[in-house]
Amino acid sequence: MKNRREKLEAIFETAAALETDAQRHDYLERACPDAELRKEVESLLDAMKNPDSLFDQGDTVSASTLAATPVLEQPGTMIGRYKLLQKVGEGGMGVVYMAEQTEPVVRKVALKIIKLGMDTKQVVARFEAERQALAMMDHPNIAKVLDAGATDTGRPYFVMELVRGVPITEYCDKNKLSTQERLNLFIPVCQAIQHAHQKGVIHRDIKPSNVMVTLNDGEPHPMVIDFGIAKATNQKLTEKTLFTNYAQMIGTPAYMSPEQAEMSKLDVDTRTDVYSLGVLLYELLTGTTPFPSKELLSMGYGEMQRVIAEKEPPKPSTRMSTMQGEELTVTADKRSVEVVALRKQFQGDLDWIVMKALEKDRTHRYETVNGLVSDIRRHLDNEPVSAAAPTFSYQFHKFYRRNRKYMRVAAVIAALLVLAASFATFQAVRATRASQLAEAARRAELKQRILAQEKQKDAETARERAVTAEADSQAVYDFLWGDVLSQFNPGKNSPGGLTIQTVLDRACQELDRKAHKSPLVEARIRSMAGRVYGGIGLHNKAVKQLSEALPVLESGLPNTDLEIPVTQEALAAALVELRRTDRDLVEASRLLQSAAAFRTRVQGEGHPDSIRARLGLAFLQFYFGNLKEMHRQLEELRQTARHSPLIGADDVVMAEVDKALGEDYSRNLRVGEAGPLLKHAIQVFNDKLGPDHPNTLEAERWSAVLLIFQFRYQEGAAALEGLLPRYKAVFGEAHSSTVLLMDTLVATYLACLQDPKGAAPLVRQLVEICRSASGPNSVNTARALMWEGLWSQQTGDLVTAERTLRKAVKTYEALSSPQALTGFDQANYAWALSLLGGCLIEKPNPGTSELNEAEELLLHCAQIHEKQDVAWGGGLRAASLVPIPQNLARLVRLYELKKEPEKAAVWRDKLSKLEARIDAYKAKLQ
Amino acid sequence: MPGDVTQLLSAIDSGDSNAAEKLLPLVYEELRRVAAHKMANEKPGQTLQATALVHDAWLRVAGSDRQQWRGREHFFSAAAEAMRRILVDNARRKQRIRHGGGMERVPLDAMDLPIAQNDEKCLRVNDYLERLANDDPEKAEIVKLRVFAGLGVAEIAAIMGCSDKTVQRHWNFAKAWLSREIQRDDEPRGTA
Repeated sequence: MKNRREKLEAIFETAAALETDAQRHDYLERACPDAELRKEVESLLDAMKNPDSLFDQGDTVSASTLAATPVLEQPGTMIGRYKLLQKVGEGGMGVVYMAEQTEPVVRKVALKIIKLGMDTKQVVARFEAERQALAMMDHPNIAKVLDAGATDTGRPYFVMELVRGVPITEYCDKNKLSTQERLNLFIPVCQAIQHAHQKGVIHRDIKPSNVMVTLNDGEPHPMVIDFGIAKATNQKLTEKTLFTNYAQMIGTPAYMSPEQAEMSKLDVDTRTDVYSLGVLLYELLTGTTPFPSKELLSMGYGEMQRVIAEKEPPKPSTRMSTMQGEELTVTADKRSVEVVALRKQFQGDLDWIVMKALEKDRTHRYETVNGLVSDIRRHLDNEPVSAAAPTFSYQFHKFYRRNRKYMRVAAVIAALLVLAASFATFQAVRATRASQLAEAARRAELKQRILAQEKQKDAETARERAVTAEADSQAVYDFLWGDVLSQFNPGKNSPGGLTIQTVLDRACQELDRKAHKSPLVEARIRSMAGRVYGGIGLHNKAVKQLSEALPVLESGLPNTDLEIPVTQEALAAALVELRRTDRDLVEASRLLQSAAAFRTRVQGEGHPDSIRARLGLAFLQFYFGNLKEMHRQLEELRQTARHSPLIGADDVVMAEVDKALGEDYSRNLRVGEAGPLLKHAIQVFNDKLGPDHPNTLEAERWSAVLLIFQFRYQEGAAALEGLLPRYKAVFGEAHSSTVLLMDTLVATYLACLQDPKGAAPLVRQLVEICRSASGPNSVNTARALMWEGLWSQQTGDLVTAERTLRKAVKTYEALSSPQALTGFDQANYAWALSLLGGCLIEKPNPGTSELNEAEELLLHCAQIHEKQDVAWGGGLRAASLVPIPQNLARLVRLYELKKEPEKAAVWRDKLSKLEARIDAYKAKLQ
Repeated sequence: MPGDVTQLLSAIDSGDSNAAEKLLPLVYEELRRVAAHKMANEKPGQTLQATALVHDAWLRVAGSDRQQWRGREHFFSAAAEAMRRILVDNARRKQRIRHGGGMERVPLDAMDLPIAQNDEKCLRVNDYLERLANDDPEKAEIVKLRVFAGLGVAEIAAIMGCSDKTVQRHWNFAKAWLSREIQRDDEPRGTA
């Protein structure tokens, strides 16, 4: 009988895949030997076309329902478990009904039936693909999409939370909301979109009719609807949709981003939503879209594409000034404001914010919706916006209006430039140093001594410089004012807005174009520019400027001028950040040694600056993989600092040393020693520098990591989650510190908690950030890919996992020789090798070639682990807790699969020895 | 308790067939515990996501275990079997209650699965499932994972160690076959 059943299944399978009943009929005619079998197949095919409701959930509709018959649904019709009540709207895409759901709960929902002309099966399948992500969204300003399916007539439908309201633009105009009220209503819309982005959902079709305003206790409450629908219906601007579904397109192209309009290879991403939000904001402000729909639709298809992709829209304030007569009065009236006042409102911040969201090149837009919201908030709070830092007068205008103590980064740098211009660079540097010294001087009995020392040094320096200093200052001043700052003419229109980077770029170009009269002055300007570049994360440019400046400063300045070590340290830091090859690290080491020696000679061994330079030197050992040496240096440094008369126990520099040593103990799993050091560091940083200082945050990160090393995963993850928004606010989303924090968090979720769900939004963000911030060929991207692969593996998608892990390994290997990777990177490279090997042996029936490849990968990983063990001095370390035992277990498994019991036994033995040590460590923790 | 489960999982892995039988009651309890915990944190009237339930139970069991890649398939099979028993027991009990009897709050009957909404169908499918298991155990296992544990095709493929395509093929057939059997049951009653 077995034979007959197999035949039945085979015929059924083939017939089910055919498209029409006629084809099936023909096929069965040919394929079925006997009538009984045929009857059986036919009954199954009938059942397939009309499966029991039991299988409704999560199944795609079968091909047979695709043949669309033009029957129109009407009130009273049942669709799935929903009963249509009344039509509530009709848009380009389809008809929306209010419907009643009876099972499992009775409630009213909105049911949107998509118009004909779509491939129902694909639509529903695409929706299913995103269902999980959609289910994770939970936000008061998002209308949930509950369900999707196909009607009896074969049209796709979507079921959504019922929102009774009017489009946001209509609501604003009807109620004559002021610009400020409009912005306040727009912010929750952005937050809803940001929430969706964090859950990995892109809306793709933001427009007024998808942002409805309802009234909650008389308060307007915006709701974003139609999430997931644009993706499922795969709306794209194509010639076909444009002309065959002309009506459907109305209103849509105006909100479409250039990358959507172009249909380029570029995938739509979160920045597409940023663009559409920009259009919506534009319309809320001015009453029109940047390119009015009517205009767009009157063009041909190609012309429309070109306009969306290339034409700069007028700024909102410009739009208001070109508006005439009645239209202008009406627009102003709807915003409860006078015509003139309205234009004024938009000039400045709002113009820039909107235009930044509408940038054609998405890399120039706000990186995230949060960025857009922050700027709107800043505008409402009268703080400078990040959209552009176009003129100094603007920055300072804001600054004085707020009358606050601090300014945002851009403004600080602007101030630094101005300061430097009037006083020459070294004075500015001295200003920062003065505050550091003041801290050390808090021990009262030493204060006098330090001041005397400084004074003496100043006097010496002054004497040596007496002749040239005055001229130098004047020269730097002239250059900055004459060649750089004059570009910030407030009256001049600066396209795209000038940023600090633009200023520096221009200053450096100017120097490249024609050499400055005094090489020393030129070197000072370059040194300063290089430090600012480093400060804003542009390490390549920093290296270029600093390495041009350094030899000139070294030979031209007196050998007590602190500008020399300052430049050396900045160059070393930038080289370490880049670490393109081993040579960068060697060069950084040479520079720091020289800086430390310089400072010890000029400032004294116990001076905070000397300690800091040596701290940098100790850190470098980590990158070289000399971990024992690093530990030795740190211990020595702590002794020097503790005995220095210039440093108190609660001084910041002491806390910096404690933090470094605490981190080192943490890596060696010496929890008892690490804990108190980190705690002390956090306390000092918090008191002296405040909770938002990078040092405070980094020390807190390490104490969270310490929890993880004690197997307190949940607590550790919670602490890291708590730090994430603070990191993003202080460092920025793409900063290497933020990336490292996200990285630790992802590792905790995936490797420790095995919680791919918790990691999902982070993994996506991490990959995206690393790709755009560090480029595809970087250690960061390689690591992010590794996590993505592990994530896929844990969600059960082994095929994607293998592919992604291969990419990770390849990326590591393409980074130049593996020797150029730091100890940290090498450990991660080893981990990626092991995960890929694991992926191969986890396959259902791994073949010989797969097993051989896995063997090579796992052994390579084990080799790196063993080499690192030696570097670490053989003690337990962070990697001993998860990656190393996992790799050993994989090797055991591999040799079991390869039927080589002796080898399996060798690795099993290693594994159990390590596990015994881990158990002993665990016992000690209790 | 998670420790017990992981021990059993590795015992199964090394070929101890007794372990498989001991596993089921433990997984059954684990699911109940996770479900009760989830329902306690939900508003009344909420449904439970079956898939989420099974995955959370798995995470609880294997969460801190370093060798998690072992035994995942056994666990999910056991979980699907446990869910089947829970739902079938519930359906039976509710049918009894209709003829008089007390009502006990069983958290698992608030599952978002279609099969949890219809007791009669649940019992009928259970009967057919046994028949299917005789002819074709592989298909029966797929149906169990899909219908009682709410898992998707890709997940099932990973658990059973075969391709998505194979699972989809078996599932298409099983679905048609089950639908036909259920419809055949309905027909005479409908016309009577």
